[in-house]
Amino acid sequence: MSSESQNDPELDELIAKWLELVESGVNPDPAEFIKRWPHRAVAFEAYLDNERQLEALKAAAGAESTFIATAPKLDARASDMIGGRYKLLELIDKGGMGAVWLAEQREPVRRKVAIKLIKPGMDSQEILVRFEAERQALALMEHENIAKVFDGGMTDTGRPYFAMEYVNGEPITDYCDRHHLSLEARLSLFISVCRAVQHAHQKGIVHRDLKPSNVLVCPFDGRPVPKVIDFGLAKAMNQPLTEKTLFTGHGILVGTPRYMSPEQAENNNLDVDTRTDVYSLGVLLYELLTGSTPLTSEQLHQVALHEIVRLIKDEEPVRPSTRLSSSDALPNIAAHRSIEPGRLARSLAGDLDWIALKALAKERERRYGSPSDLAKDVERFLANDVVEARPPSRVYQLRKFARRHRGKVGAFMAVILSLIAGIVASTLFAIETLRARTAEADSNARYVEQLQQTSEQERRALEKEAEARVAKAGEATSRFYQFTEIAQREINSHRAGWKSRASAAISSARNVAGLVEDGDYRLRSLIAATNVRLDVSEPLFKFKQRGLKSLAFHPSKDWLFVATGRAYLPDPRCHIFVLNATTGDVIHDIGLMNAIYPASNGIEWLLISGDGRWLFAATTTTTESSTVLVFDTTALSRSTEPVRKFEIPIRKLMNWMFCDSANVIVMSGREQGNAEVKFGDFKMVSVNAATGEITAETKISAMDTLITTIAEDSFLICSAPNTFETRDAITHSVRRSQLRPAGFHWSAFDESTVAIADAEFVHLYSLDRSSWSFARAETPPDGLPNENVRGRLLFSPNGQLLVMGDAANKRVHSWSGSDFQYGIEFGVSGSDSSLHLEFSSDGSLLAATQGETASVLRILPSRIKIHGLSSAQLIDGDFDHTTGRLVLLRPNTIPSGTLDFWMPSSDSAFVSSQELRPIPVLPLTQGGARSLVAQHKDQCAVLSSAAPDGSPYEATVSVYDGKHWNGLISVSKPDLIDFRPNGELICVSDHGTVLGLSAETGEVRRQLRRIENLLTGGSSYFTTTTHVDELLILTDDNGYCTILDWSAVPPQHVNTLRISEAPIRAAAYIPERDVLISGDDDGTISIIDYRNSQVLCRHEGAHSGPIHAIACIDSKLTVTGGYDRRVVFWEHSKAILSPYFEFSTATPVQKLFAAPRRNSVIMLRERCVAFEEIPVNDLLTLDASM
Amino acid sequence: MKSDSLSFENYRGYLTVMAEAQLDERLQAKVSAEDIVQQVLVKAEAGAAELRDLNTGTVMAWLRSILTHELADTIKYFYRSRRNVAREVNVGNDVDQSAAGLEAWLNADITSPSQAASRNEEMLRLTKALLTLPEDVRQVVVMKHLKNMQLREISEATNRSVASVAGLLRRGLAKLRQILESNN
Repeated sequence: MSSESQNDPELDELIAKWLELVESGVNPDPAEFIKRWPHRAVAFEAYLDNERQLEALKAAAGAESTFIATAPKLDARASDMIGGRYKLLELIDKGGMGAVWLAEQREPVRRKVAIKLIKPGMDSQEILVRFEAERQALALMEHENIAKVFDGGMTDTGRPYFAMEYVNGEPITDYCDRHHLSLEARLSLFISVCRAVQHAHQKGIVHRDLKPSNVLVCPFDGRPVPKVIDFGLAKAMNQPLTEKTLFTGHGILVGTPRYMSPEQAENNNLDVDTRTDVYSLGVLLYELLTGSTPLTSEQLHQVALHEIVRLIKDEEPVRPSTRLSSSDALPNIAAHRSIEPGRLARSLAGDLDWIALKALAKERERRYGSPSDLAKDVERFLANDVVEARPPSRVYQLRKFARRHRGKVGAFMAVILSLIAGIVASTLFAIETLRARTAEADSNARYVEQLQQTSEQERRALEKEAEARVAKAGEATSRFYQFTEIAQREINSHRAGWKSRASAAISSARNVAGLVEDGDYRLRSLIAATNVRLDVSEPLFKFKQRGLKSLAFHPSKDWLFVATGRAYLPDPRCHIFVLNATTGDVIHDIGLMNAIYPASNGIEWLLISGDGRWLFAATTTTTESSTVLVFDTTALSRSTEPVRKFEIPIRKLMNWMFCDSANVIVMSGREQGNAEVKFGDFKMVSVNAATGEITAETKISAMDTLITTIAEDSFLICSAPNTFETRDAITHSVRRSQLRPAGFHWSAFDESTVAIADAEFVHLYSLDRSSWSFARAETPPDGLPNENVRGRLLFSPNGQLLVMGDAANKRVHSWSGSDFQYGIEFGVSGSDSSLHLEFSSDGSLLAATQGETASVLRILPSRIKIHGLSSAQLIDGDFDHTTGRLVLLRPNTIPSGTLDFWMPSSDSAFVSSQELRPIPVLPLTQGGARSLVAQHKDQCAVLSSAAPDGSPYEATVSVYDGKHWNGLISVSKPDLIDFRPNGELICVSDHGTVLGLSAETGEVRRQLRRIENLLTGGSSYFTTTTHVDELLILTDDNGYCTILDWSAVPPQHVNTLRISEAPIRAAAYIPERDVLISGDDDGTISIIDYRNSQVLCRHEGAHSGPIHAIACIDSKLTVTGGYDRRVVFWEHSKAILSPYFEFSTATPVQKLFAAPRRNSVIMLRERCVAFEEIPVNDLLTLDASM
Repeated sequence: MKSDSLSFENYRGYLTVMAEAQLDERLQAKVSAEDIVQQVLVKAEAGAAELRDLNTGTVMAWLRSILTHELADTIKYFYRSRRNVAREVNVGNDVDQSAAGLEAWLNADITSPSQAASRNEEMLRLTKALLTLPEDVRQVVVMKHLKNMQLREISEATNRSVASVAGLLRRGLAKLRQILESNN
């Protein structure tokens, strides 16, 4: 028996201790264990060695993916990471929906949060889409009685989660009872809750699931503070009322139906508005007063679902005072409220009864119009004023009665009415007599009474009017949110045609927006969101013909050519149709006799010359060669006969294209004349399009060699197995050869961007000189189509859209070309195993043929103009307002970089590129917005690493003047560079040493050493510079703003101002108001009167994460962008900042520059391969025709 | 038709360990993984004719799909036979969860065939060795090393102290190594 199989409890203890340490995330040192337990060292080491062996074998066997990733994992546990950001600490609560955990967030801010993990089995994707829809609105809520929802996402195991403010409190009802709160104290807590809910309603959020467990009370500074949690979650969960949602694991009713409004019970949450929350607040009030809900859990227990729905809809609640007096628990309940039983019941009777019942009215119109109305009435009660709520009128009760007993009532109505008429008449007479007598008695008293009566009447009239207004506003609000929700849903959807549906909903919402608080803001944001995304229209037409195959757009005319793959009897011809590209009308029909042209397979390929004059149709023959027919498109009305015809020594054409300036067609395919199919019998051939003369013929290696794109006189071929070659179109001589990434179906937008699909993902690569750098991998929500039915990837000519056909499911997947986010998905019609797609030359139309249908869709572009697709990642950029030139600094082959110059205002936009080599670029700190590149006129300064390995601690300032690089100066611990308006180059380094340099010579003209010493302590990294007249204003990562007088010799420190607790990463100057505006890592925007050292306004929660960029557009408008992927436009006066509209982007915003001359904003984003121009005004126009 | 190296018998260990890993602890007390695997092998023999392209990768995937269905049926049957209104909803969730896990597991093999071949061989070697361990030892080794459960969780699931779980692990790992080395 070996020692390892012997019993050794001490060794086992030791191993258990070791394993528990390892599992808790500590990395214990084996040496330490061995040192402490020397007599177990051998056995312990043997164990560790065995463990290593097993792990190695496991890895070799791929056990990780087969077992561990998929083994049923019932629950999350402490120290699990959620969403890569939150570390679970402790399970707080477990409920029907899932579990609530206390967690720690590290990025971007360190804080404790509550994580709600939704249990598996619910539609995670749906939940998150709905949550996304609410997100913008949620971010705007800022109220001390509302716990904020920070984030939502999906765990690795596909469970949705929500991160929210951690509230260490207990349900309001428990709290009140445990602390024996009096009626008054309870009511004042309740009022705070109403105010919180009101605030949310003003931001467009309906809670939908208000109940004691969602209203937590925690003591703060000795007083109880209620916090409403879970805002926005109920909507995301959108749980219909079903058996499943009614029962928790123990078969007991969950609280929800008791707090559910009649409309929620009836409509499965579809038709829900702010008054639903008023109802739930009514239930909460009822429970706070009486200790039980109107519908008790006993009542609802073990009742069938339909019966529960009926109870919620029809069962009129018992008055709170009645409920109390009839309750056996009254003494207990009273004790909880520190009051005598009898007095408690009496104090509820009357006003409080009516308030609760009004909030609990079954019909929404009869409830309080808003939570604040409810709160006001409770306040009136507390102040002993007359409350608004009244006992239900007789008429109302009669109506209710009538509704319940419809048939019988009609018969009795006439009798009752006549009786009433009689009573009224006699009563009126009596009153009249009385009044006459009183008048005679005392005229003074009458005068007073009259006055009172008038004022009473006036008051009633006013009240009535106000009531009508509230009702109207309530209705408008409800309709507004219905429409805006539809619009938001459409905007978030990936379904084609969403734009027109969203626009229609927005138009409807617009009609009632005036009556809704914040309605304009929400509307503007929806319009902007509609304008920033692409869509495709419904098919403009469908053209039916059997066997449709190839297609081509005319480059300038509105023509689409479609050809049939073969002839179908009785018509012995195959056809090329010339269609009007937008109407589908047949302009020409070119019939080709099979007998005349040896084209048993019909027209397989169509190609058009760059000027649109020549149409080439290739027929693949089963014999020896392919035939190309050439048509003159300008002469089609006279003759549809081909003007030329030539043979190509390719038996099976695989791909072809036209090189304009060389007037050459390049084709590739299987070689001629070889009956046996041999691997590798492929070639490419260039043919002079005018003469048919073959200019070059080259054998190519294997099946996966394909020609893809053309740059005027050359083409790019993907040579197996791993190179891209740029070849001359006429001679086939290789101009450039690059290693390429592997993959199957792929497409190039220009020579520098390639999309490749493998079995699971579409990968985007960008070319940097000689190497392909991987940019992104994406997959549609439900995966890529099977490779057999997949069409090729195709970029639209302007690069805005990347599409891939899925022939089996008759649909097309699309991605946005700028950031590669999944875009829209749309159906095409037809029946065939192949689906052909083609873009028109301007990229505005997309044609598809599948089987017997050809259709054309219009691409409704984003209003954001995308420039360039040159690089996967940007390090930094700078825009010069005076010259209108944008410079982008991107990494080349790391550590080197490249400067790209753009003129966004010109059509071609791109100007030139300049390599930074051999200067290594500095890494931009995560999410940081410091400036590493700056421009002034022709000069472009770069702050780059001085060390060959790209070390971030030593840097060189170099200036490129359009011709030469000029290394100026070396600095340590570089922060940023910037030009002053007069061309002086400012460099900040070493915790606040500020240098003013001559950009030509590098001579240090002015300097200020270590202004950090002027601050209260610690070292600061400076993040932004702003130039105001003679002042130089710096902000830093400690939240300070430092003002220097840069004209003085030497420069003088003027003032240092604490703006924020968090790092400031963005600042801008508003000249018209002479104020600074800054944004910090907590998402707070501040307006600073820097002259008077005053923070004029702080807007907390402007972004739900670090603000990376601010740009001032004009005297009224400023734009901010941040890590939370939102771009928000703000209207500002000197001290007030109000959100004007916003939209979200696919990735965090990196920089924003105002381009005032074009009234647009230039945006750089993380992980985006382009820069984008946002036309500010255009974003707010709703084009109803879309 | 099929060579010895592709005999289904070779996969018994693999299937057993897989089944044990997929059955949760509560079920393992009631259902024998070995019985399920026997069913799978019988069905596999019966359906072998359908399998055209024989290699370890396809055989493994095929057996796994049979096992998945067998497991899903067993789990459902087990819970259905203990119908109880109060408990039904409770266990129903677990069935859903197990089924979701099974589905993910069925689709887990996404490696290319060439890559998978060597992996599959290693997997068979590993699972075969595991099968020779005594059942109680195998259970904790599978929990710890294939299901990545924590020591505390294993101790709760098996009603043992953490030290005795560690002891089983220690002995299991030593035995496993011995077997693997002697097989080489």
